[in-house]
Amino acid sequence: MAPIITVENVTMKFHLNASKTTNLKEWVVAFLKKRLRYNDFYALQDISFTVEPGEVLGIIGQNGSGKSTLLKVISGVYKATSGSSRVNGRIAPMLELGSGFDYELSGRENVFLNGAILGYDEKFLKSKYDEIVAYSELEEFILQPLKTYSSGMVTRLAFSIATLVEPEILIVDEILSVGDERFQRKSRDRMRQMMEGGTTVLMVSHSLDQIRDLCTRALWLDHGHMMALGDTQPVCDQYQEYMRAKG
Amino acid sequence: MDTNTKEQKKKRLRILALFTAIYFCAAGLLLWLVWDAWQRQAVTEGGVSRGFATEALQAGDVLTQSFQPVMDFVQEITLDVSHWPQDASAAVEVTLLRGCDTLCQRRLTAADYADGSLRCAIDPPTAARGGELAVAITGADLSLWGGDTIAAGRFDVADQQAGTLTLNGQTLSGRLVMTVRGYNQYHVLRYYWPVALALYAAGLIFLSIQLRRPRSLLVILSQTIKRYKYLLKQLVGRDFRVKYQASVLGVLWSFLNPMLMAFVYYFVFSTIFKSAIDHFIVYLMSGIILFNYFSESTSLSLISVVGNAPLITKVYIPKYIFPVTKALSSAINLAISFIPLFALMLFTGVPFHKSLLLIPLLLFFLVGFATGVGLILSAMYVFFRDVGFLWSVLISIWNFLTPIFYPVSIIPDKYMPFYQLNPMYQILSFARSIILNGVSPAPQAYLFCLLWSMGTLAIGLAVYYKSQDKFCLYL
Repeated sequence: MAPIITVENVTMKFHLNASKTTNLKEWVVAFLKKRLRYNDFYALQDISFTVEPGEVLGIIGQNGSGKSTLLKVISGVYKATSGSSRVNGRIAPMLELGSGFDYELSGRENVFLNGAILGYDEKFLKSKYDEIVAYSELEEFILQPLKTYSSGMVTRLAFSIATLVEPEILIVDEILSVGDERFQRKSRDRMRQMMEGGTTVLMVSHSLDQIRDLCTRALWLDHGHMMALGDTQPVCDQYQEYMRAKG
Repeated sequence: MDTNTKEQKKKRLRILALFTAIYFCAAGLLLWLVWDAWQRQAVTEGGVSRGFATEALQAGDVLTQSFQPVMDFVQEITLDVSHWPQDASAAVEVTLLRGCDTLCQRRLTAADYADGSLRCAIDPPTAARGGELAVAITGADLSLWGGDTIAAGRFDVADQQAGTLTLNGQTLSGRLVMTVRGYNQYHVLRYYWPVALALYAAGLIFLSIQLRRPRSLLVILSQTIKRYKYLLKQLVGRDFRVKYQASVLGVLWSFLNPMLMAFVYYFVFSTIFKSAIDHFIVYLMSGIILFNYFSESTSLSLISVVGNAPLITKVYIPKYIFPVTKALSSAINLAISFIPLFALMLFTGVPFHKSLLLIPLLLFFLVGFATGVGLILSAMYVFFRDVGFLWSVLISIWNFLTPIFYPVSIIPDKYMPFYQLNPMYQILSFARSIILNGVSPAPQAYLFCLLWSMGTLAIGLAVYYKSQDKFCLYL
């Protein structure tokens, strides 16, 4: 079967503005004084791998190792400086708390807005709407403006939308702690169910237990370099070893 | 395979037929609407105010006024009469001359005289370019008005070129008070169908090539539209809902706002400018709603990318969708505010002409221009937040540089070439022509508007595409 995600020699270079010009005056002054300096920073260097449909790939590494950048390159938010990444399917990034929501609108309107942002059409969302509301357990509040929700309620709604629209690829960046303990269990079950149902998942987490528990393969990144890629357990062991040696 | 290609062929033919039908309907409609205006442009010259009356002419006297009209053809000359002969059977002879050649000679009677002015139709219209013309008048017991100052307040009339007034060959000071009406001839319509057919052929060739390719521009475009249509609808709907959510009158504000603005301006400026402009309130209202659209959509586009930063850094969405959404949701507002405008026209007795059918074209120019500006601004704002402060100042300067509440005629002639560079001036003139005057604008107005709107849109798209990959790094 053809891989669902192909990442080939991806390098991501950030062109950091060393002189920190954020307004026009500073920029013009710096430009005239020829002091516009840039520092190059490589967030990813020459990353290549493929993901087969149905795989659950865990991405591990220290803070600032490029995990989130890699997810953003794959989901198309960042454009790689060189190399290419191809995706054969619909990606649903699980949005961080409320980033796709409008707090003035009701929960119901937000379901459709968020669904549209994830690229789904009206007909599909209408058919999924009841299921999403039921899963989030927000039936009573769904017609209220989102600004009246607690943060747990908002997260529950976000999780329900992202997972119930049945994306081909789900991107999870460190948010498996949704809602109270009961809903956390429920959401973990839902994730498992999706993985078993053939959804490809890319997951970033600092909890190695979670990675060991859920993933079929793991990718270890360190300062933008690929340190290891392979079966979950050995890669996690290697990483733990490395971290322990470092102190 | 065979049936597939046959089906595809059928589909291709259907699209081409649809294109043909729409194209020719649009071209025909446009031709019908612009027919008169693209043939000739009416010109009126005059503007000398009454200063003195000439001595009554004796039989055999010839009063000659030379003049140099700036127009292609002269159709009518109106003279201001101070004293009309008492004799009911008296006749006045008016002759239009170029050098020694008589171009037109008319014998006018009391039937041509009304309310102090004598109308002399030049039939057939006489070519006016190529030398000074003179009008010679004979008639016993006739006295005409003359003057030597340009009238104030007659803004719609161009200043008359200098000329000399002679009586039986003797030069008098001053000149006759007269109005010359005529027109400039355009030759655009001659090229209308050839150009339209050439464009049609080009479009047809482009379409049929595009339809044959599997991953053509057209396919990608239609897929993109199909994919993001719903998102666009959601975002536009959100803007609209959020805007009116907490207000009691809700969408009624789209009616009320421009109305109230127009009334405020009306009370402030009516004494200064009212006399110079017919239907001043409609003039104001049309200016206000169009310029408001421009300032609202650009100001909202400006912050649209930065405002949606949390989204842009998390999900892949074509980023142009944010400024475009703002331009469209403001356009809905604009469309709504046409309703009170029409109501006001009905109320103040401005006739509805067929030229109002050109409003979609007007909106196309305006929305295109505003979208282009919005794209440029929103991209710049990501990198330099100063643009926000700068733009609020610029838009109020722009507001004063556009004839919203004053007549264009208060702008001195020497500044007009610069003043006309303002695209909003072009668009507002276009609008006033079709709404107030009921005539299609002159061909060059279409050209200016088209160039401004499509040029700005193209530049905006280019700037946006070039910079959008960097957005994420600055948000």
